Amino acid sequence: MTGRQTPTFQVIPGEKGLAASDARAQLRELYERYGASVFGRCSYILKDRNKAEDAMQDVFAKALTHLDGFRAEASPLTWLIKIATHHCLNILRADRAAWHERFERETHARNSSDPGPQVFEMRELVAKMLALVDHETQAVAIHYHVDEMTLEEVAALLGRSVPTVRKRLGEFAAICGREFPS
Amino acid sequence: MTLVENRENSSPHIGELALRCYRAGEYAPEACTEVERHLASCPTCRAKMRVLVEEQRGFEREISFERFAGGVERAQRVPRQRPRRAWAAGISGIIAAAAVALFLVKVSSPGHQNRSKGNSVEATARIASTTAPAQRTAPPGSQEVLEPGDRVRLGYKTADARYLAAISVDDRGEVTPLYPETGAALAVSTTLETVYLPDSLEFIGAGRERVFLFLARTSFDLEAATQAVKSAHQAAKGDLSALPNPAFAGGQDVFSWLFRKP
Repeated sequence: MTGRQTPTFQVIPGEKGLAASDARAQLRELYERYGASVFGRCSYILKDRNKAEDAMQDVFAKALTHLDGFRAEASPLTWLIKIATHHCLNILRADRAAWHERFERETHARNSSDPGPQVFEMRELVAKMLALVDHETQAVAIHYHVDEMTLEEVAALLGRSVPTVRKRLGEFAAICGREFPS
Repeated sequence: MTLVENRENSSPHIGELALRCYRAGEYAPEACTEVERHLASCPTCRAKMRVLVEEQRGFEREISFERFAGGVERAQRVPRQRPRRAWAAGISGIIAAAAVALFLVKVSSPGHQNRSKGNSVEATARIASTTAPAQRTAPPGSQEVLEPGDRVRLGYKTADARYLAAISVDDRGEVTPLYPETGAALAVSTTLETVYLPDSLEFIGAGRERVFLFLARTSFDLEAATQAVKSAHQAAKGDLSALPNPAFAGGQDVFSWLFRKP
C-alpha cells in the first residue's frame, strides 16, 4: 500500500522527568485514535469484554514500554493491531479452562459450515474456525480476512514471505471447507 | 498499488485496516484525498467508515478515558502474569531426569491398530518447527526427534461417530491426559477431512514421550484409558518403544507416536 506518511502521532519517551500531564496527553491521544480499534480486536478474539479490556490495557502498556519500536513504525495502528492479535491469541491458547466447551463449539461450527444455504459473515466464520489452526495461521487469517490487508501487507507485518502467507490461507480455507481467495 | 483496489484486484473497496488508518490520521495528504474521493463515490465504504466512527464513540461511552488511562498505567507498572502455554506448563512437572543418548529405536509394537474395516478412521500428527518453514507430517507408528520449540498437533478423520481421547506417557511412566484433561472422552462426528485438535503441544524437558490417540465406538472415561496406559507402561517395563497398545473396553482404534523431546 502506498501513501503512508510518518504519522503525526509521536510518543514522548516515558523516562523520569516526563510530566504527568504530558503522559496523560499521550494516553489521551492513544485513546482517541486507537482505543476502539484495539479494543475491537481484543473483543473479537477473546469474546469477553472484561478480558478484552485487560488485554487492551496490556497492549497499550507495551506500546508505551517499547517506545523506540513504536515510534519507528510507519503505522502505529498496524503495529498495535499486530500486537493485540498476537497477545489475544496467546491468551486464548493459555486459557484451557473451557477447553471442552470450546471443542464442542468448534465441532458445531465445523458441522454448520458444510456447504449449504447458511452463509457466515467472513469475520464470524474466521472467529469460529480460529481454534482449529496454529498460531501463525490464526494471525494470517485475521489480518487477511478481518483487517482486509493484502497478501503483501500481511507478509510484511508478520515477517513471512507472500507464498507462506498464501499457503497458510490455503490451509485455513481447507479447514473451513470454503474457497478463499488465494 | 493504491489504497483502492488493493486486494489483489478482487475488491473495489478499501480494506478495513486502511480505513482505520485513515480515521486515525496516518495517511499523507495525497492518500487522504484518494480515500475521500473513493468514499464520496462508494456507499459501501462510506457505511464502513460510519461504523468505524461510531465504534470509537461507543468505545468512549463504554470505557471512559480515566478508566482507560488508569488501566494502562497499572498494566505498565505490574504486567499481568499470564500462564504459559497450557501444555508446556502441564508438562513442566514431568521433565525426565536423565538425558538419554540420541536414539533411533524401532517401535516394536504396532503404532496403529485399526480394527475397523475399510480404514474408517485415520490419524495423523503435524509438526511445526521454529526453524523450518514447512510443517512435517508424522504418520502413526512413527518416531520423531523434536527440536526446541517444535509443536505437535494431532488430527483425525473418521467415517463414523467416535469418542476421542489422547494421552501421553513419558519414560518415567508419568501419564498425562491431553484431550480432554478430565472426564469422558470427546464425542466427535463424521469428518470427510482431517480435523486437527485445538492447540498444539510443545514437549519440554528431556527424554521421550509416547502419545496415544484413541478413537472408540462407545463412550469411555478418561480414567479407564489412563489406567490402561499405565498398565501398558508397566508391562513394557518402562520401555516406551516396546509399549503395547493399551487395551480397555470400548472397541477403540489406537494410534501412537514416539517423540524424543529436545
